[in-house]
Amino acid sequence: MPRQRVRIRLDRVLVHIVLIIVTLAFLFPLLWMFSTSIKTQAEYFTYPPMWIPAHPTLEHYRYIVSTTGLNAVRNSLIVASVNVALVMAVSIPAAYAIARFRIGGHDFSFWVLSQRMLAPIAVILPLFLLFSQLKLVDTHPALILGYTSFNVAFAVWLLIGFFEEFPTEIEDAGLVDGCSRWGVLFRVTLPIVAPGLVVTALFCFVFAWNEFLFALILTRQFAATIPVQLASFQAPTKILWGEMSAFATVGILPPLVFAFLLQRYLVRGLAVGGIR
Amino acid sequence: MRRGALDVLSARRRRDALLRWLEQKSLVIPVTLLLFGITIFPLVYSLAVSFHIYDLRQEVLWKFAGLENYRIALFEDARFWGSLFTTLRIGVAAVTIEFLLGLGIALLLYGPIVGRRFFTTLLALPVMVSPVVSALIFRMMLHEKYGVINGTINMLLTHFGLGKEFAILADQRWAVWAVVLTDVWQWTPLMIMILLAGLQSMPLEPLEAARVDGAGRWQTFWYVMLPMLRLAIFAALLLRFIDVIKIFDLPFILTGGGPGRATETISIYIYLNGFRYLRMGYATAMSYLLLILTVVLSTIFIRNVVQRREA
Repeated sequence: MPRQRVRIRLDRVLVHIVLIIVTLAFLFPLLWMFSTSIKTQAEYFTYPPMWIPAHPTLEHYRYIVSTTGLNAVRNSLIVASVNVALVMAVSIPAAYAIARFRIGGHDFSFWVLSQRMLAPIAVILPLFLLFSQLKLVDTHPALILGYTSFNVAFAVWLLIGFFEEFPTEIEDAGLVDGCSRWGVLFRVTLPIVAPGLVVTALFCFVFAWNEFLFALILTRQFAATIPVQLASFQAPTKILWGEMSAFATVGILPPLVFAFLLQRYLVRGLAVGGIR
Repeated sequence: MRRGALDVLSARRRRDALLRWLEQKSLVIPVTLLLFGITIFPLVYSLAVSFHIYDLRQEVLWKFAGLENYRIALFEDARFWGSLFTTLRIGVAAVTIEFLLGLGIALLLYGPIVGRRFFTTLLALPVMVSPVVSALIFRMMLHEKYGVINGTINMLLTHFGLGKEFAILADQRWAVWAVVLTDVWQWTPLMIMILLAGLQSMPLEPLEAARVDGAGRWQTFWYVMLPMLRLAIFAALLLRFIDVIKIFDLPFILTGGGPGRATETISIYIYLNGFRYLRMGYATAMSYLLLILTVVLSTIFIRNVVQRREA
């Protein structure tokens, strides 16, 4: 009996050790990027590779701030936040209507969901043609509008779930008291489902923040977002690893912070309501 | 007199019903308008473009060609089929590895683990990173000389005399695996989370019963757990596959579709046609073929996963 217990404990310890190794392996690329961002050029161009910089430096961060970096950060902030505001404004009433009255039946809600699964390259080809005729290329509205094509579908779908969890009895009281549907939605329902709204908005923000293909096609220099600016570091003539890593480190900070906030909802959000 | 009062009453009732109906519809009008403007109209427009020669370089616009673009893609363009095949290869390899790794790690996390939240939080981080950033990191790490992964492998190879140095990103045969590796790093965490959620929602009684009946660990896993996880597994695989069919950012940044065309996915080939060779008509035709593929897959997903959940 005692031997049995020892064996089981050893098992458990082993599982924990494996888990720690696995977790470190998944974190390694991010840590490596950060470490590269504070290495001097001589330190990242060494063979064999240097693991921890001997002379940590902030020069690459300074370089980013002094060149196009701030403009890209500003563009990403504008595009992502205005897009989220627009997406939430149209998605909240729609999700509410679907959750409460099953408007359009199942077909409408599944049609909305299927929008999310469209191939982005198929959407961007005609959008580019239309936006260039409207002289919108390399402006913020181009991306703000373009990103609604996937974020609205996502937001509606996620919000339906949050509204369905909310008991209708409280709303009925409001309706009896003479509130309109819109009134009930704004005064009764929304304050209570606020956490769900925040979760949805944060996900949409991350999707817009990280998006590359639309931004590559719809921007030039003026409205270029962080991913586009980052991609320009990979020109074959120059290898600016330090600058690139520094900029990437700054760029992934908001999504990483949100990852901690969204932890409980990651499956629900990223599996687009497939699994709850 | 009585009839008149009734008429007034029913008229009011009818008016109220109409108002309610309008109020309900007004909730979905904004979203319908927006989706119409941003996806439906553009997609109809691109369907129209796909039936024409629309070549910005030769400045031939809207020259009707019927199904010619589709015919060329399906029956003449080996590069189209090559890029589709490359996409499928990357997809099958990446999703299989992600699934096996994800299931393994999810099973490790399922037991009595100290600090499970700590592990799951840290493991979730790669999915939040922009694919552009993932690709750039792996581009650095896979550099033939100074990259921590490729450089270290080369050091070991030459040190132990096991083989010649190689450059994974510049090697026709290996470059695909660089894309797979990056995708695996980024998306295995999602697999872990979906499968762990599936495991945690499993009822415990069948597991108990299997244990009481003297089933071993392996038997319990194979005959009891796996069947109960079937829907979660199916959903996770299909979801990832739908995503990976559309893959663009990772190979575009990591290898630019090269070396040669070794990592040229269907989305990259469409992109090149539309925005480098400026053959919009042909690009839109191919994008419609890709759309058909994703619509079929997502319909299967919605029918079998989402609707079954709803029912």
